[in-house]
Amino acid sequence: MLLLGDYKMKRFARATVSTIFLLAIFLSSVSGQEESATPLGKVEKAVLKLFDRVSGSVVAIHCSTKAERPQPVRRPRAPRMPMPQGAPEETGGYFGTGVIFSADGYILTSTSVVPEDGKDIKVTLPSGKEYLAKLVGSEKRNNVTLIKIEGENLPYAKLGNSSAVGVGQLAFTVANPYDSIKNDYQPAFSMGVVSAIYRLRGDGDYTGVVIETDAALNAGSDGGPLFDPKGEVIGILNLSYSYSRWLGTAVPIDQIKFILDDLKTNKEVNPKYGFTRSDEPCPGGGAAVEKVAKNGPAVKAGLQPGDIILEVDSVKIRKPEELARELTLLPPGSKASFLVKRGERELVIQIISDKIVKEREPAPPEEKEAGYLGVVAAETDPAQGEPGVPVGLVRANSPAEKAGIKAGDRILQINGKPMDTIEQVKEILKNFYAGDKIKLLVQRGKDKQEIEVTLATKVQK
Amino acid sequence: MKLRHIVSGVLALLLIAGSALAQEKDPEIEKAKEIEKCLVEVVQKCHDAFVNFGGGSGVCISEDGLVVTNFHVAGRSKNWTLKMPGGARGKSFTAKILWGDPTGDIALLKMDNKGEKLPFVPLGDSDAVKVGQLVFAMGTPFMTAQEDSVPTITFGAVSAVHRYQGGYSDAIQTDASVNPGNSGGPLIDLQGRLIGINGQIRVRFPYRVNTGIGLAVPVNQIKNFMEAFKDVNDGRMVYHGKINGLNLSEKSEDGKGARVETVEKDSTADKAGFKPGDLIVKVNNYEVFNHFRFLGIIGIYPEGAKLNVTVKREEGEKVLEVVLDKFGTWVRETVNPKVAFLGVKFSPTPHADGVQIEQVFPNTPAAKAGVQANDVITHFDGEKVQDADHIRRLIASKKPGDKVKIKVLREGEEKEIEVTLEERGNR
Amino acid sequence: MRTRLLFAFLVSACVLIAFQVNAQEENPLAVLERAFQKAASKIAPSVVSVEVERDISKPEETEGKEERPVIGREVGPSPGKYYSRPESPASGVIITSDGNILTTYFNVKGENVQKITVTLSEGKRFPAKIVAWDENVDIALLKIEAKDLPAAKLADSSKLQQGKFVIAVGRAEDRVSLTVNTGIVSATNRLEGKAIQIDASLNYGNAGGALADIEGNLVGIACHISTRSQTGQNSGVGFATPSNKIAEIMPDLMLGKVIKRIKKPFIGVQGSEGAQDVKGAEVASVMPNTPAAEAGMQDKDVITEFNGKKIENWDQLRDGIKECNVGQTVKLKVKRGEEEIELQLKLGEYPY
Repeated sequence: MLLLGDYKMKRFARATVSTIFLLAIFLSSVSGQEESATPLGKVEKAVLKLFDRVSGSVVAIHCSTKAERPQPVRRPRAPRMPMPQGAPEETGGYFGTGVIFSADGYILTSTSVVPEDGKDIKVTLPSGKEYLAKLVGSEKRNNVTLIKIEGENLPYAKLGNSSAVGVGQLAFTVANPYDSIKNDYQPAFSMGVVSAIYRLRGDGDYTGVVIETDAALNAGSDGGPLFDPKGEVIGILNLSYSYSRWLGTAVPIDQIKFILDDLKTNKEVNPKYGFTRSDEPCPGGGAAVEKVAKNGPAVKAGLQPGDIILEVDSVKIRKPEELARELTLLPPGSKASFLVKRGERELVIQIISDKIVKEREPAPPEEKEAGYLGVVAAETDPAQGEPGVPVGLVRANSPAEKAGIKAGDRILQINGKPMDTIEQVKEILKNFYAGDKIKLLVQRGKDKQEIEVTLATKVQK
Repeated sequence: MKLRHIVSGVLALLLIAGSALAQEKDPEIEKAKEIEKCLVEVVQKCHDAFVNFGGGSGVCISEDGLVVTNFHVAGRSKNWTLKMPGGARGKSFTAKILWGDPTGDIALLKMDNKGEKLPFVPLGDSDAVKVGQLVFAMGTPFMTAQEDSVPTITFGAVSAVHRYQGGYSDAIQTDASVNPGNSGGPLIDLQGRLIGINGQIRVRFPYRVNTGIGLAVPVNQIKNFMEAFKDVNDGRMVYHGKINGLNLSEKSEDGKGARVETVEKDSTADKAGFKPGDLIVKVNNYEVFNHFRFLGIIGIYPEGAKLNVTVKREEGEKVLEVVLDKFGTWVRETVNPKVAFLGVKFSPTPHADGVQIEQVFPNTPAAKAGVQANDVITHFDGEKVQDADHIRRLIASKKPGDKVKIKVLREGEEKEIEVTLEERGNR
Repeated sequence: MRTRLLFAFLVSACVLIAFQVNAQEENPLAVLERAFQKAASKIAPSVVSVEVERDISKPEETEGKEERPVIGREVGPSPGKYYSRPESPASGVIITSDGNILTTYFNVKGENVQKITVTLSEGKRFPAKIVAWDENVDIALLKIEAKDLPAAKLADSSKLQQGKFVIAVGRAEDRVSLTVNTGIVSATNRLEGKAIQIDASLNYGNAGGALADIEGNLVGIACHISTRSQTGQNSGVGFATPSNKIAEIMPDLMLGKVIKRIKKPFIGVQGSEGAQDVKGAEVASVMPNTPAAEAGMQDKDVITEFNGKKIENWDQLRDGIKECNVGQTVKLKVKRGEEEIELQLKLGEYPY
C-alpha cells in the first residue's frame, strides 16, 4: 500500500525504522529505571529520599514562659507527658517542634510551644547544635509563632501551597515527639495521607480550617511541619483535634504565608470582612447586613445590604452580637461559609477575609513580683551583739534552701550592705524581684562564705 | 493515487498511536496495583511464621522452631502452648523458654516442632535500617488473632532509629499500628526479614491505644544475646552489660561524643584505661554523639561482651578494649544487703504522676511480678508516690518477704501489681 | 519528498509508541497518591453524612440488665474506659438510586433516636427513616425520598487479601467535606467471619462510611465501632462488614426485616492463655457487672471445670461456653491459690 520508492530504498527504510524503533524502546526503558527495584521498593526509595532531604530543617524547641503549659488533651486525669530523659530543665520541661524555612534561620512553630511571651528559647538541630532564638512575632488565631536563630546556610524547608492540597494526597509529619531531636538527635517521621480539610471546632486552641492527617502526631509534635511528597511545608502541626475524628491537624501554610511579613515586623493583624451589621435583632434569628464596603471581600463574594446572616460555618447566629464572636475566631485570609437569607431564598456565600495590619501597642510594664528569700530570723539571737541576722528557720523549697543557707547561719551582708536586723533584710528585698540574683555574705560557725541566691515568688508549686 | 496513499498511511499511523495511548485500564491504577502486589507477596511469605501467645505475639525464626518474643509476654511461665496459623483453630505447639532478658525485654523459646519444617522469618540487620523505610508488623492486637491465629498485619514506615528509651536502649520507632497484643511480635522489612520485636508504645491520649509511636527491640541486640547464650536452655534470666566505675557527664558536647567525668579507682573502667576528660566517640563501629547514645549502644550487649571503645584525648585517639560487667542493678552507693529490694532503676527525670521506671533487672522481685520498663509507679502500698526518693524511703520501710500492692500507669491505663520484696543481697 | 514525509511520520510514530510503552517512570509517590485520590473520587458521590439526633434524657437501651447510655458518659463492662459517642454526624453510603442508604447499625441504634438527617455530597439534606438492620454484622439500611442518586455498587470482597490497600471514605463534621483514610487489609476473616480487619484510621466520624479498594470499588462498610470503643479510635485496629456479607442480607433488609443479634452466651472475663504452668483456663481479670463477677469469680482464678466438663485450656472453656444458652445456670470449679472452689454462674448475653 505504501510506495517507498525503489526496492533498495524500501529495504534501507525498513532497516532504519526497525533500528530506530528498537533504539527508542531501549532508551526509554533505560531512562527512567534504576536497578531492578520492585514497584513497592521504588515507593520506599522515594520516601527515604524525601526524609533525607527535609529532616535537617526540623528542630526541637524548648522555652520558658509564665503561661500555663498545654496538656496533650484537656480531659480529667490526662497523663502529663513523660519528661524527657536526662537532667530536668529549670524551665519546666515542655518541648515542641519547629521548622527552619530560610537559610538565615527563620523558624515557624506553634504558640503551644512558644507562646507570645516565650523566653529563653532554645533550638536544637538534629545535628546536635544548639542555638538561642529570639521571638520575632506571634499570631494567636493561627496559633503560630515566628522565631529566629542566627546562622548561615542553615538547612531549610520550602514553604508550599496549601490551596493546592487535595484530600487523599500523601502527607508526612516530621517532628519532635517525646523530644527525640534533643535526646536522640533525630526527628520522628511518619507517613499518611491528607485525610480531610474542614473547619475545626473541637478540643484545643485553634478553631480555623485544618488540614487533617492520619500521619502520627503526638505530644511534642506541635509546631512541626506537615510535608507533601515534594518536601514542601503545607501546614504547621497543631494539638487541636476534632471530637469525632481524633486525628492530627495542621494549620494551612497559606494562612501563615498571608501574614508572614507582618509576623516578621511584629505587627498586629486582624481579619477584615468588609461589611457592617445592624444592631437590630432579626425575627427568626440572625444578623442583618447594614453596609457592604465597596472594595472589600464581602462585596467580591456577593454579599448585599439587607442580607440576613443565619449561620457561619454551620454555627447558628441567634443574636446580632454573636456574629462578631464567630468572625473573630478565624485567621485573616481564610474562607468562611455564610448561610444567608435574601428575601425568600437561602443561599451560601463564601467570603475569604482580608487583613488589617497595625502597629502593636507597647505591652504594659510587666508586673514584677517581689522577690522572696525564705528565711525566718531566730526569735532570740544566740550571739547578741554580733553583727548579722541569725537565721532561725529556712523554709522548705525556698531560694535560701536551694542556695544552701541553713538554720544557725548569720546573714552578714546582702550585696555588700551590712545587715543587722531582719527588717533591714526585708527592706532591701523590696528592691528585688523574682528571678533576680543577690549575693549574701553568710557566717557559719567561724567561716564566712559568699552565697548567691536566685529569688523566686513566694508561692512555690 | 498518491494522496490516497498518504491519507491511508497517516490514518494507519494514527490508529497505531491511538491504540497505544488509549488503554482500556487506567495505567496509574494498574501501577498502584503492582505496588500493592509487592506488599501482598511479602506478607504472604511471612504471615505463617507468626506465633500466637494468646495475649501477646511472637515470631518463629528458624525452621526447627526457635521463637522470639518480649519478656513481658512470656516471662511469667517457663512452659507454653503456642499456636501458629493453620486450620480453623490454628496449630498448637508446646514450647519452653531457653532464656529471658527482663531488662532488654526479650525471651527466646524453643517449640517442639515434631520434626516438621516450620515457616520462619530470617533475621535482618537492624543497623542497616533507615528512617522512611517501609515495614509491617504481625501480631494479635486486642486478641484479634484468637480464633484462627492468623496474624493482624499493619503497615507503616520507620519513624526513627537508635532511640534511647531506658531498657529499650536502641529502639526502632515505627508508625505502623502496634497495640496491646502486638507485644513480642515481629517488625518486618519489605524483603521479609526480621528487623525488630515490637514491645512498647507511647500514647497521645489517656487510652492504651496506638497513636503512631511504636518502639521495637532491634534484631541486632537479639542476635548479640543469642550468640552469647547459645548454650543456655534452662529458662534462666540473663544480664545486660555495663562498664563499672565509668561515670559520664550529662552535658551536651554538641553531638561530638560522651565526656567521661570520673573513673573509679581499680574499677573495670580504670583497668581498661579510661581517664577523666576522655571524649568517647565510638563503640565498635557505632558512632557516639552523646551520653544517651553511649548507654544505648552498651545496652545491646550482654554481660561479658568484649567491646572496643574509641576515646579522643589531647594526644589523639585511642582504642580501649573492655569486657562488660554484669548489669544487675543500678547501684551507686553501698547499700545494706539485708534491706528490702525491688529491682528497678528509676528515671531521674521527675514525672507528674509518680516515678517512672527506666529499667527492670533480671531475677528481681520486679521482674518476677511483671513490672515493665516505662511503667510509672503512682502508688506504693496505698501511698501516692511523689518521686524516686520518696519511693526509696517507702521500700526501705518494708522487710524482705513483704507482699506489696503497687499501682502503675502503663500506656495510659492503670494496673495493680503485687510484688513480693526480697533481700537485696549483693545485687 | 512524499516518501520522506511518510518516513518521518513512521519514525515519529514508532518513537511515540516506544515511549508510551515505557512512559510511566514518574515519581512513584505521585502514582500512589493519585490512585488513592482517584479511588476516593470514584466512590465519593455515594458517600453521605448521617446525622442522628437523640433525646439524651432517655437511655439508649433498656433491654437487658444494664442501662447503657453511651453519649457523654464513660461506661462499660470492662475496667478500661469507653470513648463516648460524640454528638456529631457519622457517615453512610447510597446503595440504590432511589435513596436506600447503608450505614453502621451503631450509628442509628437505640430507643432514644429522634431524628435522622442525611446530607448528600452536594449539600442537600433529607430526613431519613430506618428500614431495617442486622445486629450481627452491625449494618442498618436507611431510606430517603429522592431519585437519580449516584449509588455505589457492592463489589466482590472475596478478592481482598492481607496487604491490599483500602481507602475508608466518609464525611466530616460539617457534613460536606470528604474524609479519606488509607491503610491495608490486616486480616480477611475476623469476628467469626463477620468482618474484615483494616489498619486505616477508623473513628466515630467515618463509621458507616465506604471502604473502597484501590480501584474505587465498594468492598465494605466501616462497622463494629462498639467493639472497638474500648480500644479506641484510629488505633489501627478497625473492622468493616464486607460487601459480600452485605449482599447476602440486602434482600431481607430491603423487605424491612430486622435481623436480631444471635444471642451468644457470655461469662465476662478476660483470660490469659498459653502458659503451661497453669492447668486450666486462667482468668486475667473479671469485668465488673458481669455473670462472672456475680458468681464470685476473682482475678487470677483458674477455671478447672465448667458445666461438668474438665477444662485444661481456654479453647476448651470457649467451647464449653458456646454449648450453653443465655440465661442458663451452670456449676463450675476454680482453683484459687491452693483451694478449689465451686461456683454457680448464670450465663449472660455477649454484649457486642
